[in-house]
Amino acid sequence: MTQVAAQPTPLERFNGHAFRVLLDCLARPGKIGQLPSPPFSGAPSVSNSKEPNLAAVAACMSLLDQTVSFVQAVDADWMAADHPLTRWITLRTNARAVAPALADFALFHDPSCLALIGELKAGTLLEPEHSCTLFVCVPGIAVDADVTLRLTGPGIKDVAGVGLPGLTQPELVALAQRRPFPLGIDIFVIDQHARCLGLPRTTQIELVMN
Amino acid sequence: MSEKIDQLYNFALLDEDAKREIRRKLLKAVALPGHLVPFASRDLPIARGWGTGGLQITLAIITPDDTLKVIDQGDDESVNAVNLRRLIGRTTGVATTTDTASASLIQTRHRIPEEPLRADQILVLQVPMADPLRWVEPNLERATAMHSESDYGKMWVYMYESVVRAGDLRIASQYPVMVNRRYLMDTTPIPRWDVPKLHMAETLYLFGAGREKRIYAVPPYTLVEPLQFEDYPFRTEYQPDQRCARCGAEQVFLTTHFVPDASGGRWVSTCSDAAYCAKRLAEAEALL
Repeated sequence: MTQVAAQPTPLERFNGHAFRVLLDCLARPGKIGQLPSPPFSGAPSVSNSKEPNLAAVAACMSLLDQTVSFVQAVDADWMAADHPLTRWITLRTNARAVAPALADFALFHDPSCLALIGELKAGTLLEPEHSCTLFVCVPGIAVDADVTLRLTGPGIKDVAGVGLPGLTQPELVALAQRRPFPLGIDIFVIDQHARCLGLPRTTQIELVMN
Repeated sequence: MSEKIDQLYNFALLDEDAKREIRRKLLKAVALPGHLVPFASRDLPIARGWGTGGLQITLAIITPDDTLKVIDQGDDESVNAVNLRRLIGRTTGVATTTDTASASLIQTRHRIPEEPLRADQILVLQVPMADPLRWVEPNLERATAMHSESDYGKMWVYMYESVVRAGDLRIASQYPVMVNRRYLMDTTPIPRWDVPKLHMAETLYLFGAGREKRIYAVPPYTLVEPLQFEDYPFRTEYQPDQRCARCGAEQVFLTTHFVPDASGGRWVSTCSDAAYCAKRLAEAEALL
């Protein structure tokens, strides 16, 4: 068969693979996906002492373009629109940096920002799809041991267990707080090893006390 | 040299912005099982109504590592399937197959393959009519409001009238189902036989309606319950005395066609899923 199309560029290939991982993780909450390594580097620091989780930044950027908006947060506070990392993302995606209540995508660079989750838009009954998609960077995702969250809902056969070590009790409570369906925020939790956990708004999250 | 000139299009035909838009809508569709998510539905080199919704989803999610299967009415060789497969193949270069088990991505019109689908496969359905409320509420705005309020009384009346008029739930295809006990969803033109395959399935089902500009999804392990009455339960087309004339399969969806012969001809039933039928025949021959 004659080929009439070019093979994807490294960035297009990454975007395609990353999307399949995100889709799989969102369709099967509790399943840990492995994101591909981004074909770029050199993202500015989030703050003086903190480098961004490049896998999470790249996964979020793979969905951004000029028709959508985004917001970022670090150390439990929103990042300014003129922050070097925000400008770096804007330059490469054309997505607009906007106020949290308007953002289509949000990127939390550490779990302490989960306290801000209530400020993100959750959609309306007529248009529940107009809600925020949130990417949260965490230190690690534990699969077998240290289960801290018990997940139920569509995409899960019976019940799924997953651990998020390093998150404080208030952060876990903020993450587990779901709004009445069909409103809500869809969350991707991404750790430092580029592992990804999807938590769509349909997933009910129960905290496990150890 | 000539290879360079031949590369007229982007990988998978759609430009990257179009793919990203569909990808964003797909994520929302998965997070809202059964909810119709509007999308741009861009122009394609095939006419709307010929599978452009399913095609756009396939083109947006396909990667060079995928193995693709395209079926139309269960058949790999019918005109819609052949042309869509050729279009996707020529613009991506991915491997294609007719074997359900070895495909990672299956685009389909009107059927879900007979072989059980696995968790690592994705089924993309081409949808002609997205909104199940179309029959009872032609105004799209009002229908959207009814969905948002889970106000499906009119649909129940429609079902009741179907029983009163025909003595049974005479809905051949597009059988309405409740997804995750929240949204009423149209099951595309798949026959009733395939409707139970959506319930608590292992596979992710993605639905694309190109003409209606809607995307929706049924994630794995999701409740998909057909609308039914206690005294008129949902039934598939299954008839115990019918079997495939080629492979002898009984627990499958059959199509009938007329075979003329010297005495005037007769109706013959065969498997609708042609690849499944061929596989069973090959297995039977291998045993001989």
